[in-house]
Amino acid sequence: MRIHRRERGEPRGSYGSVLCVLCVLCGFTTRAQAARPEQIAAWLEEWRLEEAEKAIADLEAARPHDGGPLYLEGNLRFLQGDYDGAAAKLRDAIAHDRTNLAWKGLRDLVEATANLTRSFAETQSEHFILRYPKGPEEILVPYATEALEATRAALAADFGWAPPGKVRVEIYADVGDLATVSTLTLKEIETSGTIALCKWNRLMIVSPRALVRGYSWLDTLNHEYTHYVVTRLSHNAVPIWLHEGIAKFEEKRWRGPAGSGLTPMMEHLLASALKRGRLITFAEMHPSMAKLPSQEDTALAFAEVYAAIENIWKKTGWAGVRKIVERMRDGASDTRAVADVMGEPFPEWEKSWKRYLLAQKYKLRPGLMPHRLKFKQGPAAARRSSKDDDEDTAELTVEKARRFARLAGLLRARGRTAAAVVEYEKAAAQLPGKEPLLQNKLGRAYLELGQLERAQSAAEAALEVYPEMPTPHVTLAEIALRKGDRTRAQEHFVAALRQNPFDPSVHCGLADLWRGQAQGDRETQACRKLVEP
Amino acid sequence: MGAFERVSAFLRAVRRRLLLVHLAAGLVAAVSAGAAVLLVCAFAAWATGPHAVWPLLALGLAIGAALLALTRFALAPLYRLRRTRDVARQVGTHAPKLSSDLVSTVELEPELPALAREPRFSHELVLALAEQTAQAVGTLELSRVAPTRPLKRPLQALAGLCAIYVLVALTAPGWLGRAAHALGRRGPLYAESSDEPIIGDIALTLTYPRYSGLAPKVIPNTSGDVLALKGTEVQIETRALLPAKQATLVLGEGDARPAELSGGVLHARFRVEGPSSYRFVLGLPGGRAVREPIAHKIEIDPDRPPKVDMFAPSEDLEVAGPKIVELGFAAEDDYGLSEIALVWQVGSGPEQRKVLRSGIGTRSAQGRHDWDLAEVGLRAGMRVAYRIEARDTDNVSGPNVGSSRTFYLRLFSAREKHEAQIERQAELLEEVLRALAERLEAPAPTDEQAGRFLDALSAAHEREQAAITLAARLSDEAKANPMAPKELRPALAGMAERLGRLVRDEAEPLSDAQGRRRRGSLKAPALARLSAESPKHVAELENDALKLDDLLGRQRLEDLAALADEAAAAKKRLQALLEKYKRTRDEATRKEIEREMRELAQRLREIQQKLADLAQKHEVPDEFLNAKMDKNALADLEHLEEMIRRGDLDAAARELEKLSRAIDDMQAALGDDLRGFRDQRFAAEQKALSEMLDKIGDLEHEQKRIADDTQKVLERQREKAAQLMKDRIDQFVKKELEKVARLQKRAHEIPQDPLAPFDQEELDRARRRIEDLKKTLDQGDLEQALEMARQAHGSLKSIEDDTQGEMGRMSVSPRARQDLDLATRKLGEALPVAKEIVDDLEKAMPSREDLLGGEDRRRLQDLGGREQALKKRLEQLMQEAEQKAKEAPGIGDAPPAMRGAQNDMQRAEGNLRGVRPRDAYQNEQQAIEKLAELRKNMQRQRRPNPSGAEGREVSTERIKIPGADEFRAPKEWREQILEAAKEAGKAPEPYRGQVKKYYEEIVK
Repeated sequence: MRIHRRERGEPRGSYGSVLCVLCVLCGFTTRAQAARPEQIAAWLEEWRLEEAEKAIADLEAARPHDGGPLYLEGNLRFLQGDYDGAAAKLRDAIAHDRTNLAWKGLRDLVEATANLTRSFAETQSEHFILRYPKGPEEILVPYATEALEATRAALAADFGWAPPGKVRVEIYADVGDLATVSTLTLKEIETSGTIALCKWNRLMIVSPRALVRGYSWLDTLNHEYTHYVVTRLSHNAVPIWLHEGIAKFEEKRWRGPAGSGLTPMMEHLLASALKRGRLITFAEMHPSMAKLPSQEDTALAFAEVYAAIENIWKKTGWAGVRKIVERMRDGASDTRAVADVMGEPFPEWEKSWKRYLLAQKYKLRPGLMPHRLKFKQGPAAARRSSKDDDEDTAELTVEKARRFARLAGLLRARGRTAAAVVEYEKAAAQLPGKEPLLQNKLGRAYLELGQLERAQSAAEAALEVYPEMPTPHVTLAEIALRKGDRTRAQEHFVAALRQNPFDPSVHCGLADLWRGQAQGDRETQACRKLVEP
Repeated sequence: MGAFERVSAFLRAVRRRLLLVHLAAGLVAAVSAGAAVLLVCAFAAWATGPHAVWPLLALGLAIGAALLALTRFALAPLYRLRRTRDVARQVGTHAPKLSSDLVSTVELEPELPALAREPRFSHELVLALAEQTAQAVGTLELSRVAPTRPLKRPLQALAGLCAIYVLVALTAPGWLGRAAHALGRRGPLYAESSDEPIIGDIALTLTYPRYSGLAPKVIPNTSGDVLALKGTEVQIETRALLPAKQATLVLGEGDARPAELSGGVLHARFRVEGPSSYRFVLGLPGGRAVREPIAHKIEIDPDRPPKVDMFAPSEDLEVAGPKIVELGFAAEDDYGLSEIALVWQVGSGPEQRKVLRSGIGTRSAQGRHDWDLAEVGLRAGMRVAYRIEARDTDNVSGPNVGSSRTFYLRLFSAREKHEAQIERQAELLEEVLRALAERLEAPAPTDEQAGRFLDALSAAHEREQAAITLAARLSDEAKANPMAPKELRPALAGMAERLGRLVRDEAEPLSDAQGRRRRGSLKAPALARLSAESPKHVAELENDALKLDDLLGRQRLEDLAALADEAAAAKKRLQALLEKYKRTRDEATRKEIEREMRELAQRLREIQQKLADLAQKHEVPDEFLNAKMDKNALADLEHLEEMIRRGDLDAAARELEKLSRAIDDMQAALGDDLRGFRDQRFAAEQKALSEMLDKIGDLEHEQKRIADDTQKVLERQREKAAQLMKDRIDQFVKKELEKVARLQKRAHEIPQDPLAPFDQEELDRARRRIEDLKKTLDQGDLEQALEMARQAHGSLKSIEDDTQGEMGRMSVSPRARQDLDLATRKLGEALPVAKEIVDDLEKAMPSREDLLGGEDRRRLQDLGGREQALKKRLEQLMQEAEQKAKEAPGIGDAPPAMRGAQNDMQRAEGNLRGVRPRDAYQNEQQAIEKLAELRKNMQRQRRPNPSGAEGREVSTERIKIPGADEFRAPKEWREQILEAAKEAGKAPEPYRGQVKKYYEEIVK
């Protein structure tokens, strides 16, 4: 399941770098004593704000009546997170040149961002500033800061560098807000499944509350932070394939070692691509993973780049990866940088990487389909929780399976669980593989009947192919609790929490398990807050 | 008792006796005096004849005489005995020895207290005198000291008078009676009653009140008794049979008026005001007056109230909203109708009237009225009593009012009914799911589990039976439910039928297994058949449950969408009313606004409630429940009300705009939810409907193109006609317009009321066609004018035929016949003019050959070919619709509608090939209309039918009277019946009577 998109390399919309440079160039001419405007624009593009800030001040002094320096300052303030100040500067700039559409485009975006975030709450940790809407999203803050600080420490070890100052992280209540503060449309976000961005010198993430079953939001935060580090470290010189590969490889770094493996879905995609002999080339991945023709291709591309970094990392360790990034920061191309580090021409490395892929013997899982992120829409969203009862079965791809599953749902809702199990099993029999939604429902039905072994088997089957799904984790946690296995129960609750921190049963379960501990108090509070909103 | 007391007691006794004697004497004397005076007066009256003064004079004299006698014989003597001393003296006159002592005793008694204080003389002496007197009076007899002698003379007088009366009675029998009659008669009839007729040869002339429309009537040689309408003027002509000097007409007992007497002939007149009598009194020479012994009767011929019949869809009608109810009425009066009104009463509220016709004048009237129930202000559950009331033209006693039977209607909420049905469908789903669960949860049919297996299957079997009954009943109910989706009924019926078959098949093995169980021999092999059958049940129940679940969800959403539509409509009305109120500021509009706001608030509350219920019940998946009611909407409505009350109408308009947006958003969201649900759950049906709609749209488009091309030919034809008649058209049109004006006038003179309702409509149609004829002539479009003239003539002819047929009916009353006569006469005047205009136009029109060139003829042939191809495409589509009706029952309604369009296409093709472009064009337009209507209807099927809602959106749907067109049957039908009735005479003898009676009933 692809849950984010790196925007690097995409056309920049109305204020892309090329345009910016051109616009600035059109706005004024350089002077000997001030940095050239295109240089300042490049620094801004590379998020080298300290250099840009000083240069802009000099430029403004030199050209007090030009709009160009004002535009650059507006852009700088935007990257610094001062949205109101940025909007004011941009308006001043536009007052000097009312025909410049690029400036107006940036002004609109900045104003929209300022309007949206003006009422946000803010929490700061040692290295991060979290901004989020007041209300339910407050529950995310302790988990997010904990994970981010852990990420920072881990990545600092891996890359030997950590960004100075505090990194801004913004959490939005729904995808509509993400559309407001980005250049993406709502439709693009929903189609591509974009849920987080690392752009404009900040991390942007949509609250897991906006999705029907949540998503791996902490891994995603980590993924985006990796992009941040790589962008800053490389001066924004790393191409998309490498960027996404490193981010994917480091995704779970905050809670374990790097490269914790491919998901069954990714394995399956790679296996089938290798079987077909049709991998997606690095060139095809440019300019954006989201531009690939299908969601399957996008997911395959992520699997490929993950495996590529895994291959480099296995051969050269973090030193190699770091060296590639540094080489590129210094002006080398990606092929040259990889060739230099790997000690063989890039095409050769590509061949050896493909051999590496074949050697992994990835497992094919017929019938497996990438799961789309399901956004909540309308008032129905407010009524949804992550309980499996609320999940409909319309997503099942086989009509007959859908029908049996619906019948099972009808029977189960009426307390005829034994009959429901029969129908769930009929539904499952119609499908070529294990459908996690269905397996989880079956598991819960068994659990209601007190058939713990069967329940566990069904829920584990769901996780086997989609380990990131939260609901089977909750089911397994409840089974473990019934069996008296508190450790397993805790593991599953925590796993569910990483996906959907808005499920009260998870917090309440953890509160019980951690009673008397410091974490227990936090969970108790969260449980109360969610149960009695 | 002392001596004084004893003396006093004696004197009181004497006085009492004297009082009685004198009173008796006074009374006898009074009676005698009165009787004597009356006798004298009777003699005088007898001698002088009756006179009005006699009764009073005689009575006065008699009373006077009686009073004198009473005074003389009773009052005066009693006055003289008023003191005790007077009584003592009276006693003294009859007992002289005692006289002095008695008087002294009486006089000394008051002195006794004074003597005690001042002893002027001896007290004891007084007492001794008293004692002596007391002893003396004790020996006296009352009859001696108070004799009855004063009675003697009055009694003698009375005896003498009685003797005179007896003598008179004996010597002149009846004289006393006549004399008393003469003495006692007062008023104009004091005249002496004649023993024989005093007038003869009576002739009456009755002039009826004008409103009756009756001609004056002369009745010669009559007894003189009058039977007439109130207000009738009666003129009497008669001959006096005695040599009279003068004559008087006496009405009733006292109303005397002089009669004209000339040459022995009497003339008199009076106006009939009520039941009474009259007689003549003749004054004879010598002062005597004689009167007719027997009075002539005056009786009222009653003006009866009109007879009214009302025809309505049903006597006790249930309507699903403020629809239009068709009412028919027929009223008949004996003299003339003035007004027909619809009268209704909502609940126990005041009666309301709506005049349907006024100033009618004819004796009969019929008509139809489309009663828009919106004006009644109906609310669900209300019962309305209504009737037709007719008034006659009676302006003498005031109009008589006749009334039809009272009918009733009640507004029911179609949505409420629909919702109740949905609830029962939900019960059915529960039943099906329970049956399914029982079967799925049944254990394997092993020897050990055989009993439990049988229990589970028995329970499931019973539930299935219950489900079948419920499904069948719901299927029936769905038939009458306009809000039910098309597929509901077949789905339920199919479910009942399939399950029924399975249940029947299972009954025998189940019964067998149950028998074995009772016998204790139930083993697994005996359950094999049941076990084999059960999966079939499971499959059927699974399908049924899902289908029901789909239908339920859909209906819930449709219901909500319909409510949102109603809210949107109410909001629109509110906006219009607010605009109006801003302009007019009138109170009625403000009240209407308040009413609309209440309606809207009600709808919004319902929507809110239903959305909450749906979210809770999970009957519709969450993803299709994205519509929401703005939580502030109801508060906004209250603000709005407040603003209107304050008169801040601009602010109110802004508030309403805000509310309007919220409602529109909600409506759109509900529409999206419903669409999404249907697309997911009814994908096949939606696809089939969409495809069908597209194809119908294509056909409609092609038909429009053909019609456009036909119209071009027509335009060229019209230009050609104008060119050909260029020189003479103006004069021709002028001449024809004069005739049309004449025709128009005559058509308007035809009375409408006596005509049957469909003829009334036909007459309207004829008048409209005449108007069209005038316009088209004015425009110089002779071809169109000819068509209009033909239609007008045809309509008039049809009315005439019908009216004549109606006249032939036996059951038509004479009065209605008169009205119909007039209508026929007027029709007879209009028809020849219409015919003349048709003839003129036919002669004036250039021939078709002149009007259409070769090129246009070819074009018409081509268009005929295109029309034929189009018709073929439509035929194919009909077949396709019939095939697809199973997967999308909504399409099932399409073929009949398509058939109508196909007929039009067929006719259009024929007319195109027959070079009749105008007719073809009309057919093409009709085909377009039908296709467009069909498309709209099919599109409407995608949304619930809100017509059953109780919202006040005025529905143009009419609730018709069943067989309304036959409530006066068409001519052909009547003829058939009459023919059949004639044939009834040929029926076998034993049945002939019954058959005849049957036809008589129908004819009635």
